[in-house]
Amino acid sequence: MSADEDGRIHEDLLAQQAAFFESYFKKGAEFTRELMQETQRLRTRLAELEERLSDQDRANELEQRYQQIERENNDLAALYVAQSQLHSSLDSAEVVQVISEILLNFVGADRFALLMFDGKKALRPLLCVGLDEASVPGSLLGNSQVQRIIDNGGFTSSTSTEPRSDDEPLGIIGLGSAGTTFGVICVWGYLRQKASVSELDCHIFDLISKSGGLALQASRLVGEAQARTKSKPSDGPFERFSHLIGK
Amino acid sequence: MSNIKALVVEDSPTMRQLLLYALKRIPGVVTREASDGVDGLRQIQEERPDIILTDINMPIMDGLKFIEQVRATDDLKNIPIVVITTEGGDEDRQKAMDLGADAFVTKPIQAPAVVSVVKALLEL
Repeated sequence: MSADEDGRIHEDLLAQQAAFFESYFKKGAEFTRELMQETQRLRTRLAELEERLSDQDRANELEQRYQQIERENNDLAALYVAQSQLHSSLDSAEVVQVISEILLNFVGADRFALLMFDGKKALRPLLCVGLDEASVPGSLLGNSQVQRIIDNGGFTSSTSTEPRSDDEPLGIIGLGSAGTTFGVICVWGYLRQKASVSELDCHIFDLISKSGGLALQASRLVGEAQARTKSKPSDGPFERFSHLIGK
Repeated sequence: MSNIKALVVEDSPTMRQLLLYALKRIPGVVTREASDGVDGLRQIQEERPDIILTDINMPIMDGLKFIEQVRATDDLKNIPIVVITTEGGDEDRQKAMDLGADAFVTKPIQAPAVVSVVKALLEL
């Protein structure tokens, strides 16, 4: 092989090498560009997904908030109805009936008694629902929970609705007005489908303790006042009220 | 949206008020109330309701007789009826369903349960 041929072969090889490298780097550049485009596409997609996830989180949060507001709204409606019904009558029998209906229909209590102190300071059942008078434990005044409610007013309630084997009530609601407790409601049982005592149930117990006691007291006073009223059937509200305020 | 007329037949004013409040949670619902079956039938004659909620144990005419009367009237046959029952009232509940009631809600009444049943029956 001559030196010329050697030189041509060498130049050809160099040219081939240069072409190879040029092609290689072009492909490399093209691949890098595609990778960068893909990276950008994935970044955009990631941002979209993050935004969507964030929207979903917000939607879930709003949904939970909506459910909570709905619950509060329903609880308030139940309390409003209970409150308005408690003060819808000045007849003692009707007030007792309303208290009974609230406990049965709003709370789901189906074994309870409304007891009041008699002249000998003993608790006597005025109303029994789901049990007869003979079933009401005679030793309620010896019960520390009942005594605590009588002393302090208010209510106490177990969170469970399972009936207890002893005579211990599941719920005790004090009935009173002006700081004096004149009776209690003891709950011994709930409807079978009631799983637990809810926050609303406790609000209703509190309402009965405060407003129920007041409504009962008011109805008693009205009843007694009517029994000895000096007003005549022809009297209007002025005549009926005026002697009550000393006019 | 046109008004949806709901009739509540319930002798207890306390329960009636709670049911009325629950129904008012549904947009477009206007309510009427009756204290027993006879009163309920009178209300229906005055205005045909789109849905009826009725208690079972009521004076004068109970819920079962009321449902029977409603279903016996041709143009009232298809009005959805929801029965308000007590937990122990399985037999009455079954009788009501046999007479043509469409659904029942059990006491103690939860407003969301009432809303849900009414919406389902009216396909709202």
